[in-house]
Amino acid sequence: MKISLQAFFRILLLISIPALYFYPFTVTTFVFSVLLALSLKSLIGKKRGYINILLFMVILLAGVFASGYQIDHNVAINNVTNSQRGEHPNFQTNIFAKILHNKTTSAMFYLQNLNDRLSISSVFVAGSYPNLSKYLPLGFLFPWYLVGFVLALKRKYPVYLRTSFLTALSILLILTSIFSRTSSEIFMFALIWFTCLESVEQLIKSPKIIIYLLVVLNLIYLGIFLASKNVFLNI
Amino acid sequence: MTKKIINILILSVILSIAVFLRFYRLGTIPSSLTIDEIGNGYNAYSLLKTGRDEWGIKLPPYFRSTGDFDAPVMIYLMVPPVWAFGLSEFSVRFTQALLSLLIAPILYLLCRKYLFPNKPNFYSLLLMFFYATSQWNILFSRSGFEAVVALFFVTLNIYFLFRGIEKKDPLSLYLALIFAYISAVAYSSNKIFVPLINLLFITLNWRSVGELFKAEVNSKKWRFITVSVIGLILLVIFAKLWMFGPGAVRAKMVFFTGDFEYKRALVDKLAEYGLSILNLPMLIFFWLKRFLEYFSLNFYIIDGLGLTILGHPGSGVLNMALFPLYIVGLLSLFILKRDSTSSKKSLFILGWFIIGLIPATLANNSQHALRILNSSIAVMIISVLGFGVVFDFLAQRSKKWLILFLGAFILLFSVDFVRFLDYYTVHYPYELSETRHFGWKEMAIHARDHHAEYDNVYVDPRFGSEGRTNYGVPYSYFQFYSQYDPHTFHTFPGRDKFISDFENYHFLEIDFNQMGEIQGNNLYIASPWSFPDNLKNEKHIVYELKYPNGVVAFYAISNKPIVNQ
Repeated sequence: MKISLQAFFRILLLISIPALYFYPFTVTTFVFSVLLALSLKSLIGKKRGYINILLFMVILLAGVFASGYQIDHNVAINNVTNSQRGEHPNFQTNIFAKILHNKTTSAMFYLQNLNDRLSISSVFVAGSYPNLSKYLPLGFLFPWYLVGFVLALKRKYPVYLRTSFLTALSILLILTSIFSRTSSEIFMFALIWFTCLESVEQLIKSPKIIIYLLVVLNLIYLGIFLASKNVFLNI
Repeated sequence: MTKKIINILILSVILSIAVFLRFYRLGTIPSSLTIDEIGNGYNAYSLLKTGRDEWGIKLPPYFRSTGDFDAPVMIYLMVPPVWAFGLSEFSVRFTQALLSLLIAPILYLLCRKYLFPNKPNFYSLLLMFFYATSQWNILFSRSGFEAVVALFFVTLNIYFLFRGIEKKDPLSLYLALIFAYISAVAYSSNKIFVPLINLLFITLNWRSVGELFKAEVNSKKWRFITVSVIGLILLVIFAKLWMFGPGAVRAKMVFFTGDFEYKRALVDKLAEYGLSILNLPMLIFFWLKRFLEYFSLNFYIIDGLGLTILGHPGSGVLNMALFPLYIVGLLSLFILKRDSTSSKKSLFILGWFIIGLIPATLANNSQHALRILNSSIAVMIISVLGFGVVFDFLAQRSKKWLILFLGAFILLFSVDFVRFLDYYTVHYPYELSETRHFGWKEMAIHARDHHAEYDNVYVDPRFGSEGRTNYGVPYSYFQFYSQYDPHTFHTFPGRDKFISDFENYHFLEIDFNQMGEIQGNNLYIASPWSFPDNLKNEKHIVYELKYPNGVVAFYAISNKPIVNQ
């Protein structure tokens, strides 16, 4: 079997991403997140149809079971809600205090979860590795993969507007935000792998010199963080 | 004609909303003047009375203040309101509120005439409305922030740049440069933002700018030479005073290499393991992290304004209804194909947003809403674009969906605006009054009314409910609220040695716990943790002040028996 140079570089760009080397994955999380990412990608592929949707749903359901489906319900949310209600004068009878500080606080909490796990900053430059210092500027993907992702948005945006894709994407985003950190990993990484696939697909279309440069940059980046990993281990 | 009248009517309504949101109870919301507001106010008062700052320096190009050498523009602009309304909370905040208000009509004109001349008028009205009700801008326009003054001048700068090119009017370009200059002097961030945004504009319109200046050189040679010479002189003065002189002190103090997170969590750790060689790449990635944090959801809708304590949800810089439109607008700037004129304008708007982030990313602290205030206008323009994209998309397909969208937008906008008002007026003073230096005013007023009854009044500048966490500059409060004559203050012995004591006031750290018993007929003002328990009783406490959350902020303690307290 012969592999073309482009395919070789594509694989190189895919397998060199930091998350693979620094994140303590379980086999289940890794396998399901990759399968979900691939099935999500199939929804925007040329040969899409009910089979792809069905496949996505099956993997999703299996993923939900495998994740332990633990909803992130933090007691602190209730405390914050109560404390903010209590800051109102005459809070027992104040209707504003009740209306403004209710379930919306929980919604904010889940949005904050989504932000912590999947913000541009988290994905491309900040990470949030459970085993490493939270201050380490190490992304799940390389910072320059953001360029590839923006290019993908620019070149492919009509396919991203397909209902099946948007629905699937929304489900993954919701699961990432409402599940506890451990349970959400499968869905969070499915989206990260998908971003990576889309980004690399665009980056690989660059002139050869850029691709060489990207490979070198990836290796330098990995080298820097592998060299300093022990310094930032959370013990 | 009817259309024109309706337009004027809508403009008046929006302007009235902007006036209300910026001036209603300006002196009392937010509660208490911060140390910066107090210092700036007293400096303006001193300028008015003596022509000198609080240190006795005649018409200073920067204000030494408490050692961070404040920019001069805002303080000079505060002199007229202090003259008109007297030295008060209202007069100190008046300039920023007024300039923030004036930005609204400028934005309308900028949008109507130059940014979207071919789009329906509602684009411009919407921009003005979004700005008038922008929590981001309301928050800072109601407190003494130089960034608001700088934003006013930079908006004028950009308006006149467009005017100059469109009308082929070199005078407008000269005016634009004057406003750019004032803006750069007015606020540290604008020393970076202003040159870059002007450079971007010139690069995008280099042909038109070039032709304009060629015509100017040919027809008004002497005017061009005079302006160039004056410009050069002003540039040298700028560099000497505000780029490399004491006026740059503040910028140096907050430069991001001194960031706590970078230094302690990264550089110090690397040094421990002998890996200091990695400092530079870490610095680059750290900067990138800071930059991309400005694209995070939490900044825009959860807690970007910092109105609540860390970890509590509060208010973001954008109204929740605007956020999805902002995303659509941002994507449309990247994705949609446009003709060359629109494409230039799109690039300019995008550049405005991104350049506005750069100064803040070069400073310490992440997600700093004030330092990226220049970007706030671009964010609103982008939101208007997003609104336009969604509106056009739905209008072409279904009237029902369009009405549903508008209804949902109005509902969400109103709810989130009420949420902002709730956080701003109820939770902000409750949770963060300490950060607004609450309490010094009340202690200063108490001391003003009673200091003559004592031999000395000792004030400990440290404060904070958690312990000795903050170091204040209380003497400014005591001057401000007693409207102390600036001339007498300038000539007070010891002032030339940076001692701030005046009359029988003494500002110094005192460990009251060491004293056991207090001596003589003196009044001591300090935080509760400064005093030993045996002094915190009815016999000694003459005045007690609590933060709005019920925690004691300050005690005034003396040996005098309490009379009618």
